Amino acid sequence: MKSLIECHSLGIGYKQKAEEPHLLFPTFDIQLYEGELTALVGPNGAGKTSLIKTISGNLTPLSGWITLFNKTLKSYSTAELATIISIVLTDRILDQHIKVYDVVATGRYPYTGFWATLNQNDKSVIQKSLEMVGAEELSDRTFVTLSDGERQKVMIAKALAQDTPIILLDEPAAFLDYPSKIELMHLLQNLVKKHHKTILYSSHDLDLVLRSADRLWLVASRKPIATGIPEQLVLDGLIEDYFAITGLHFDAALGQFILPTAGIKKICVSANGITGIWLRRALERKGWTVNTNENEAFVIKFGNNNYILENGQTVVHFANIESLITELDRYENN
Amino acid sequence: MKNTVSNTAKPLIFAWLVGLMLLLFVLNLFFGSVIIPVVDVFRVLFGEGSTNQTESLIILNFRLPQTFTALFAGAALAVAGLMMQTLFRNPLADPSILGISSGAGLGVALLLFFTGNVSSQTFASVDIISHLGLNMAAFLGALAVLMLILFISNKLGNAVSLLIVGIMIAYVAGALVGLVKYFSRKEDVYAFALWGLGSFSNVGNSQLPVFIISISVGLVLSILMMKSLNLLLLGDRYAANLGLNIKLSTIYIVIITGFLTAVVTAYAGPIAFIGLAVPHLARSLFSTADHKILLPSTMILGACLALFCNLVARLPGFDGSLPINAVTSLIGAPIVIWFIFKHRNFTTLES
Amino acid sequence: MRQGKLSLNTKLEILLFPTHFKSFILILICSLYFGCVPEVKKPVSHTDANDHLQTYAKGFRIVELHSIRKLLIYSPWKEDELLNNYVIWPDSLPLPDSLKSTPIIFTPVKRLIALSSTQWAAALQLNAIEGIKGVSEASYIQNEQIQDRLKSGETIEVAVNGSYKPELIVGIHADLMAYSPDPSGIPEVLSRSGYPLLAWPDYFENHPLGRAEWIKVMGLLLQRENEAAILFDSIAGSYNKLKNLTTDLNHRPTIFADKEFSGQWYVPGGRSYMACLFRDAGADYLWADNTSTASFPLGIEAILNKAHKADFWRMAQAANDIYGYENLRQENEIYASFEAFQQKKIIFCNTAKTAYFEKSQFEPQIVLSDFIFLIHPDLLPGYSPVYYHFLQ
Repeated sequence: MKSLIECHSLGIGYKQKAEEPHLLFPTFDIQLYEGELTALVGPNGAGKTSLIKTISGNLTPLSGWITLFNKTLKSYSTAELATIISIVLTDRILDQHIKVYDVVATGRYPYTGFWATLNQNDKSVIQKSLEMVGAEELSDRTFVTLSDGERQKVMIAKALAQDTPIILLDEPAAFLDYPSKIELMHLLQNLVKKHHKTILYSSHDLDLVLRSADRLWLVASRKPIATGIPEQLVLDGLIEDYFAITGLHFDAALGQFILPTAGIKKICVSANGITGIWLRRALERKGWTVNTNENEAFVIKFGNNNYILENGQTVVHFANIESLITELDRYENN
Repeated sequence: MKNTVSNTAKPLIFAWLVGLMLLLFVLNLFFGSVIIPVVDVFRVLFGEGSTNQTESLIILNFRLPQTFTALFAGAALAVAGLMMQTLFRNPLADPSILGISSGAGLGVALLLFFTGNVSSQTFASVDIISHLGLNMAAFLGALAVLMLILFISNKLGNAVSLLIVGIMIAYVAGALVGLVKYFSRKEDVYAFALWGLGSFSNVGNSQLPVFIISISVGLVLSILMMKSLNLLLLGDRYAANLGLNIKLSTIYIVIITGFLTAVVTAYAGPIAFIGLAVPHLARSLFSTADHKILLPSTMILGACLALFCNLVARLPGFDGSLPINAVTSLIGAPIVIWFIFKHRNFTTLES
Repeated sequence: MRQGKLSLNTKLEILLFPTHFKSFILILICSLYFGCVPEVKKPVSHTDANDHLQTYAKGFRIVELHSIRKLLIYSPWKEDELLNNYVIWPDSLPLPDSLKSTPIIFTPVKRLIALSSTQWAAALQLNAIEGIKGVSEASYIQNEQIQDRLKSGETIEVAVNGSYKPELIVGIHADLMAYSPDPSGIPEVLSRSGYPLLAWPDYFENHPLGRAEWIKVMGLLLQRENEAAILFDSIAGSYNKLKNLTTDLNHRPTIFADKEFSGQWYVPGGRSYMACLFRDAGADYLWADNTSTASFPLGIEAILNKAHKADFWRMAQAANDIYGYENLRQENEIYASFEAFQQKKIIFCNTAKTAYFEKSQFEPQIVLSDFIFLIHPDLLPGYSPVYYHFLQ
């Protein structure tokens, strides 16, 4: 695997006057591999944005150095860098009149002359970039009238118009609703696979990155950066370690954090498939520890489109999950 | 919503504006507080003999330089306002935001104070101040603030800090003006108030070339900033990622804006409103944020607004001459409100 | 961040706009202030009052009713309104009970605070400067006697740059404080001093002799009425004799006055003191038809139109020794377009050199001589002007 960006003994943080530099995490070595969708993941406030800023040349590292295509980052001019790395930020564009097309067109500025005149090639690149993100319909719209998801697409189109091998995205999914998040991840995966981009995006959404990223850069405040493919990191217990929040428990089987429930209320579910999964979720939400031990006091089965609750000798049939959990609540309160 | 100003309509609007500017220019020569027959104006302008000497004097030595001054001052202030609004990404920014006008005001207040104090008691001490001294004082005051701002922006290189520092400098200059005024006699305070009302009539034919050339240089330089300004619309980080040297561009923009503001303030006093309002008119009219269109159109619109205000300030049959700042605000504000209402579909969010 | 930017900015705008607005209001107030001086004031009819002979001044009257003398000061803004109505009572006589509750000035006034220069200048004319205990704006006072007294502490500066020093005012233990009234009323600091206050609106007189006649008020206060009357009669006699020289002139050259500032050119009103001087000097003032007693603003274009070919141009200002036509041209090139400029017929008073504002009020005959000599040199052969000269 070829690495496009290499960080060597990199130290990131801030320096206050007459004080020792404050490092966000211990100095580290890390590589961004070509043709991968890499996710920089960690809790809020861990220093993801600072890392992205440093890699994009926006922030000077406290120690160490970065190489880009085997040359030090410092040796690139701003203009050269503009053709190698493009960025998509959480920053809002404030102008009330700017057009989507004009925003995407700025992606071509590193290639245009003094007057920023767009030639035929520039125009076709802009058009293609808009099409790649599915935003060609938006091109005449004023940027401020777009939804968050649309804005994110347009900014990605800008990055595509910039025609750089590397794209860095800072929290691209932060303001998006769930379907838009999924759509965005598909888009990023697609750009990597079909258009040979190398992409690094940051996110605090563990669920999202576990489902989409080829590789994770796992950060947490003052911890050494861990890296690897998502599944390996889960199995090694690093995810739980890095995201550790008092009172939360990472369920490696589910790949998500759950509220610990001390196991007082145990219930057995013997149902499979989609119904089983959602039934289980509903019960967990209500604080039950679900297992498959049919000796528990409560056992739920599913058959003939009915949920069957067995409690010792009592057997009750429910038509849906809602009436089932309402009944369980009643038991509990008695 | 689709763009209502199509790309083909833009050159047409632009042509209309240039026409309007030429019309206002001519009207400024034809109409003033002294009523001169149109035929006579033609005769004077085209150098035909047998014209009334007073009329030719009024037109050539007074109306002509005043009209040119209004035109160039209007264009300069409007462009300066546009650049400030883009640099600070703030729709309320105007040329005075960097404290440069306040610096000019401080220069004038100090001049009034010192000349007022060395002279003896005069009832009409307004007369003491020579306009040349006033121009110089205003220009030096503005320049001093500009240097300070440049020094600071070189240290900070960040628009938000620069904005705050600019506002702080404006406050400090304003406070110093207040102090100087406190220690000045009321005649000088009154003279300062008069200066603050602005006037396009201080530039004579012999100073006019210097004024026009200075402003033109500033305007040409502003056009050279077109690409940087477009990038700055996206915010500093995007602009930097797209290859823009933020610090250098900020310094260039501050120098050009400061120079334009300083020249105009030195020659015409602190003219309000044009710098704030005209960029909004241009954006609404062309419904764009592209400086390739905005820079030339704010120049033309700024010139139009200044010429129109100058015309209104010297309405035919009215022997006085209204203070130009009162006219710019009284006429400019309703125009802007009307535009915002008319074009509100461009500025409101839609679902 | 965005929020912060906006609000700071908005504050600045809010702070900036009122300044412009305030300036506008200031102009409005100023024009009202100078614009509404009543032209002719009819004296209040005290039918049986034994009025002293008073021909020119409109702002005060000295009346005697049943052997009680009164000093009345009229408002320059409201006809028939009195600013002061004082009984003048000699210190040497016992005060009758009937007068105990009326406002009284006991004469001679021994400790006077003179807040404007024309008040102490009047005392100076009567050789009675010892009574002047307080003055204002000392740095602008050219008179050496007053300056010596300021140095020795006999006279104290009680106001500088328009702000009063209340503790010094009270410390003087004055008998009377004379001030220049304005339409906004008496400053709180002055009324709190507890002194009798005397309004002194002499600068609203629109006849040069009217201004000079205020010397009679000072004479009354200092018990030097006869000296004041004799002085005034001699001033008025000389003035009227000079005026008679020009009454029958057929050739009356045209004249206009003053300069532009920031687009506004304040010209003396047609009924003003300056217009009167122009007329009496045998000149034709271009705005003589105007009915204002005070200066009013015009646009430059209107001045050019009317005064472009005028014969003479009068201005008074403080200037250095080398101030001349070139300086004037640099101030505003348009000045060079006037024929009076080209012909070097600018009648100029350098107020930094001549103590014009301190002395000329009581020497209107000299000011008039200057004008006559410069406009009609043949009428006063061999005369050497005092205040006004042609600008060099």
